[in-house]
Amino acid sequence: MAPLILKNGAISAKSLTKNYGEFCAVNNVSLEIPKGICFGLLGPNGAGKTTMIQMIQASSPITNGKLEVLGMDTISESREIRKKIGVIPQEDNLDPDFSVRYNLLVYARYFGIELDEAKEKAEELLKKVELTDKADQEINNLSGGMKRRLIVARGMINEPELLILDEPTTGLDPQSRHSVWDQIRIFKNEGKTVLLTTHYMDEAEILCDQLAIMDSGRILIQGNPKELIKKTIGDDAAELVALSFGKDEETLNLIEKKCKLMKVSFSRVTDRIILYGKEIENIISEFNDEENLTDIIRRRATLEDVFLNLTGRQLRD
Amino acid sequence: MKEIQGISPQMVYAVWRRHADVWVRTWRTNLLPPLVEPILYLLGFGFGVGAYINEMGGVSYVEYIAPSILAISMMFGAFFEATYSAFVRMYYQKTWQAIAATPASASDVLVAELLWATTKSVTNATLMTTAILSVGYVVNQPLISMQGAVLMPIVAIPIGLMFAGMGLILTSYTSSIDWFNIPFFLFVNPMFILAGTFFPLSEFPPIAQNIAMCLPLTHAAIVTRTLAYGDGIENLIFSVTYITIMTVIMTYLGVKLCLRRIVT
Repeated sequence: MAPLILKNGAISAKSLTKNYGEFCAVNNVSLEIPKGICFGLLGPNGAGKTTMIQMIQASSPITNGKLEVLGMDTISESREIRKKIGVIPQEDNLDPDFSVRYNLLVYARYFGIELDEAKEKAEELLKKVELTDKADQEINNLSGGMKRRLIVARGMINEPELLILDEPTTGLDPQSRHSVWDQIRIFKNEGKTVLLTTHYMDEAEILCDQLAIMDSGRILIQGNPKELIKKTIGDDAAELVALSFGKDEETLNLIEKKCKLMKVSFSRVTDRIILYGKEIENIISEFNDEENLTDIIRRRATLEDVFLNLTGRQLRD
Repeated sequence: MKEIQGISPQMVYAVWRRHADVWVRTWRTNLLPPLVEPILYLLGFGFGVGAYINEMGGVSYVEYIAPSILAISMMFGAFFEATYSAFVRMYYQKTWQAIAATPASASDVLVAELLWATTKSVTNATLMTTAILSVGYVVNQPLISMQGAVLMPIVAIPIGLMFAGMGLILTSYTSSIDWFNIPFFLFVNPMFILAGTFFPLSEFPPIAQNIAMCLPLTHAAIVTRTLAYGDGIENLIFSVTYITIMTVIMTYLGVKLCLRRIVT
């Protein structure tokens, strides 16, 4: 039988399933990620993103289906895969017993990199993430942003073909966030592949060439972020904000009724109604003078709108 | 599945080196306990309490406890490392998780834990033997034979592995670091006192003797005692067989159960 999987894909999943006992974390997912792009995996907590990532980094066995990374099978060639990928985990798992530089050297050893080469590589990477001054510092003396940059550097010690980042910028200040973004862009520019998960839609929109939104172990939608926005909700959005909580329920009810009548897609949130698509001006013109509305905000539709529309506003664990 | 869990000697070494590097970084504090502790025991119990005891098991009391504290330190060295320290690396520092993203497998990590815990047993045995020999030299009373002294670090390997395996079994199960106090108080500490370490098992009623003969430390102490005095080596068959079988079972189960916990 001919292989079903594209030869030059970075990641290729066919009917991929992962069960933890009775619980199905990833449910029959098929996914093709070509080489040389930045791919985003989005979804609320518990959607199955981290499970996907653990299977892709070949450290968690798959339950069913087939998963290839860089043309290699995650089951039979897991060591080979891990040799060629760089992983930037969600949590800080730097070695607190070692200095900044020594963290890189110890990590290099797991990849079989000789000490001289590792030292050279470590200096280069520390320079890249602007931690040269901190090379001899203890990990506990680093700020959150510095730790994250060091983890990014560590993930590149083996010159990976594929970089996997699990929520790489959570909790970072804007400077560190941009520094991490820069590293991702530089890496991608070398023709290599990036896979990242994030809860920040702006980050996904800025960085990702393609993305998939997951929920309850399935992929809901997949594509280029701009095209996804256009396709699912259109370019434009407007927020009609009510004067006060509760009291102006009536006005919002009226708008909602009108939207349904005119088949304008919308989403209602506490004190406001968000309208999407080309027809929004028709609604706005009707309620322009409504005194129970404090504000009418016209804006571009964003990935966040797509995300909330698809996955709902219900809170997740 | 097989490949994710396979064992590679180079990778095991790389992980073992990481633990050794941490130890070397803090060597001053690490050397202290195995050197000072035996001196305290020998002084306090051996010479202090021993002054009121004519002899025990055919030798002076200080000679009786010298091999015991060696066996105890082999046990603690491995057991502590495979429980509290391994749990810190697994749960708090996420060292295992960090390594799992490299070519090293989960099995490599666990085998390295066993070997590192055993290394602690061996270093403890070496340092303590040195301390005991020094004390013996100072008081001009050889507490253990020279051949015995040379053999102590070697027997620390199987003894250490056995206790390391037991430690990993507990680590595979525990949900919090405090939980380790239970096996320590109910299993390790009673063994410490009752495994023929501070008085001969023959003082026990027969049923208690039989129970004591099931405990791993009893056999570790029989081995160190026999080697220390240098006679009756031929009587070791039972204890050596016990330690060998237990080592195989405990290390196998320890790795197996930990894998079930971490490779999900």
